[in-house]
Amino acid sequence: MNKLALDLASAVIRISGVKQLEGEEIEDSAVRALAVIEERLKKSEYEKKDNARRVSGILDVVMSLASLDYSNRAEYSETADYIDALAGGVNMLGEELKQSTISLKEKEVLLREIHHRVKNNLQIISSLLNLQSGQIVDEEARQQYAASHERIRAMAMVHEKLYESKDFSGIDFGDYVQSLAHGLNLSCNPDPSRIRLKIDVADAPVTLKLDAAIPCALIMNELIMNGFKHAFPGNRAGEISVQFIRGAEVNQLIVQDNGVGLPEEFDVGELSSLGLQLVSVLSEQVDAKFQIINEGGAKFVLNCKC
Amino acid sequence: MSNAESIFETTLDPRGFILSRVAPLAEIDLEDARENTRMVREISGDQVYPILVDIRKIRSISKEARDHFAMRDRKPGVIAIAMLVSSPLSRIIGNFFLGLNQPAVPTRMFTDRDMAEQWIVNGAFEDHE
Repeated sequence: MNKLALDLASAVIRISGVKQLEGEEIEDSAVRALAVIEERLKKSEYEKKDNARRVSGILDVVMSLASLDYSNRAEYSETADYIDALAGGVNMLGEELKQSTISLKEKEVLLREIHHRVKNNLQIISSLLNLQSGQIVDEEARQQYAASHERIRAMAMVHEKLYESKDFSGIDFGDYVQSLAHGLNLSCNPDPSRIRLKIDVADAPVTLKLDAAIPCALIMNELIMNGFKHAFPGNRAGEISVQFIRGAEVNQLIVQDNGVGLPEEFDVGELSSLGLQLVSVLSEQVDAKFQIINEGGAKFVLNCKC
Repeated sequence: MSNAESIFETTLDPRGFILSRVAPLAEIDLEDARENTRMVREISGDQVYPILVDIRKIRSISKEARDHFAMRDRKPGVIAIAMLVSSPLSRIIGNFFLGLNQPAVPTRMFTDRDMAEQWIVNGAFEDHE
């Protein structure tokens, strides 16, 4: 055997880790060493493929979890290696995610139920007031009952919109404006052919949280009722326009009529009617700027950051 | 049917802590976890000890068992938990107990048994936040 062949055989034996047996020719040891290396390469190739298969199985589970499908679990091998640790971690995360999703759904159901019940209870109170107002002879007292009935109905409608919403955190106020205005047109407009109601709301949804939605709803309710009640005395005809404009920072609610306008002696600081007092107080509550413009009728503008 | 007795080897160390060893390749479910709690209570008698849990060779633990060991819905039967880990899987499980399934008592993970024992025997867990 020449020197090169001898060096190669020695190297192969060294790399393989086999030991030259006593009396064994170096060629024979080298042959054994090559067999060991070949076996090792085959095993390594197999492990590589097996690891790829295991990782791919874990990825499938991760993808299932991403689509909230918890039926798949990553498989363990016998090796208890890092890939098994990964499989275990993914399985446990899946279990936690499943439970969180379940409790979240339970909370959603509960929240929906609460808003539904609040709405129902408010509607019952509103109906009771309405029924009772029918038995009142005094016209002014009857109208006060009717106004309270509408206020409660406006609040009930907020809860109705909330339980119909996706996440219960708020309502699309543009949609609410439409519903409330239509409702008031049916219940409070003394003559829809004489007093027309025009509604113009922003196309893009404007979500208001519950704590802002209730005051804004009551403000709008008062302003529209006020228009129906005072803007067109006698047989005067006209239009009440309700606008909800979405702004970059400030949303604007405008209720405007082309009726008789406010009395000349009208003073915002000395509001005598409960309705406009409510508007003033509620505007402060939502940190909104409230303006009254008495020109060609009455125009009420609410600039609200909420 | 629970095989908790073969899954856990639980004893009282004379230095004043419970030692619970998880058997190699153990797959722990709720029944095993409950059985372990029963054993710990039996060994503890009227006392409440810290526990050193050796999970180095664990294979898996179910969600229900993890919740049980978190002791959130019951009176804790131990005053602190030192978890001994080594394999990648035991480390992952240990981290679940430090995060998502955090027990109601001070819990810490160790790779060194002496340090784990020191933490327990010296009462260092009392300063644990």
